Amino acid sequence: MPLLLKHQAAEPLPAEAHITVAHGTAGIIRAHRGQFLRITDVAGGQPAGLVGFVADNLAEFLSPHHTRVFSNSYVLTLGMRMVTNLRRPMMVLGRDTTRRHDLLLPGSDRRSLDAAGLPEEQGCTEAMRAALAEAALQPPKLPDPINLFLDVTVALDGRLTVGAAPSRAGDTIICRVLIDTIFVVAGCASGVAPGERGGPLRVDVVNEL
Amino acid sequence: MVPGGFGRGFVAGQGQFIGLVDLHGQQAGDFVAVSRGHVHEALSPGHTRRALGSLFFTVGGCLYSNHGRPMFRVVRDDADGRHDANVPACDPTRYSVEFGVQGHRNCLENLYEGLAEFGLDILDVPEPFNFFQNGPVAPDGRMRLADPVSRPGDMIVLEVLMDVACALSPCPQDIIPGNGLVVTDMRVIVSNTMIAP
Repeated sequence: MPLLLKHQAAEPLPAEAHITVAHGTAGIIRAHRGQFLRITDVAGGQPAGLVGFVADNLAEFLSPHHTRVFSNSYVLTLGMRMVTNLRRPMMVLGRDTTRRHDLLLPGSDRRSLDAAGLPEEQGCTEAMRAALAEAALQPPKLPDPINLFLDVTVALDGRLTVGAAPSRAGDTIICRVLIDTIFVVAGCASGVAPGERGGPLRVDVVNEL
Repeated sequence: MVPGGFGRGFVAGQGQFIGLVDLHGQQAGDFVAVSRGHVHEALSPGHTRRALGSLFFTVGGCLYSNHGRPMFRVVRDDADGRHDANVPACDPTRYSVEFGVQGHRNCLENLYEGLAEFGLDILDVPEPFNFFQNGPVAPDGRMRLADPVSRPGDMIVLEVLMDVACALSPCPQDIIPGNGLVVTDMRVIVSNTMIAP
């Protein structure tokens, strides 16, 4: 079901795509305007780092920082526009079975995981860099990710509390994509949430729900 | 002195102190810093939030780089912790997309101009600390727009923990709450000794 435009585009939506992201790695998937991005925590307890680059301009990308101020919200909630560093809506959080995500913390990296006593885990940052290199993509900057399935609560005094890994097996977010985008999804340890279990992520770009 | 709505770059060495003065009160100053040894090690609000477990810092606390290392220690804060490290620098799209204003001065370009001589691209300009900007948390995780509570002459002093290149932009936002709708000048002091009132 493409966007319900008054004048339908002559071209149908492109083919659907599906990838599985093993724990400790990142995967790349392309989505076109009008398609749905669906990210599923297959086994539960696995956060998903999400970055997106505008397909025809890698210097424009999904920005958790601009997303916060665009909606005057420290937290990601259902119906919020997830915007780029140029304040254009890239997609909207349209369905969400977990309702626990983070827009405030950086992605994990080698240093933060070592400091957290997790030397065997792979960093979100390194996994994304490896996936981009493998795909021969050279964006000018690796932006901060949106941390899906990471439960960060903001208290009135500004204190941040990271809750236990909130997602159960099969928990899903679905976004209607509004800009042709190259998404990078990492399934790595956050280094901050207790109870993570390190399973695979399923990422689908679909035309129908 | 940094004119309101404009930006300036400056350097400071490990062991020095940086004082940032809100000369007339109610003026937010966007502040960024990078390591002079390695310009991709940058002051990071996100890493600072993760290290402090809070949106806000207090005197005695450190501000961290994206490598997880302390870059500054806050040694004096006349605004008693009321600063923002959440809102990205205002940029051309802040004014053109949200308010329909083209050609407005903006912090991103001010900060870039301040750091350009150190070899940074505009995309390399780090997320800022917005000193004196008031970013309270409202119920349900909402951000509340508010003017600063800083008074004329209020100062924040940072002890410098590694050699840095910095830039300060007294924010040109004159449309929504943030600077009391009136943009004013700030002062930067770099000193070898603790800066007293």
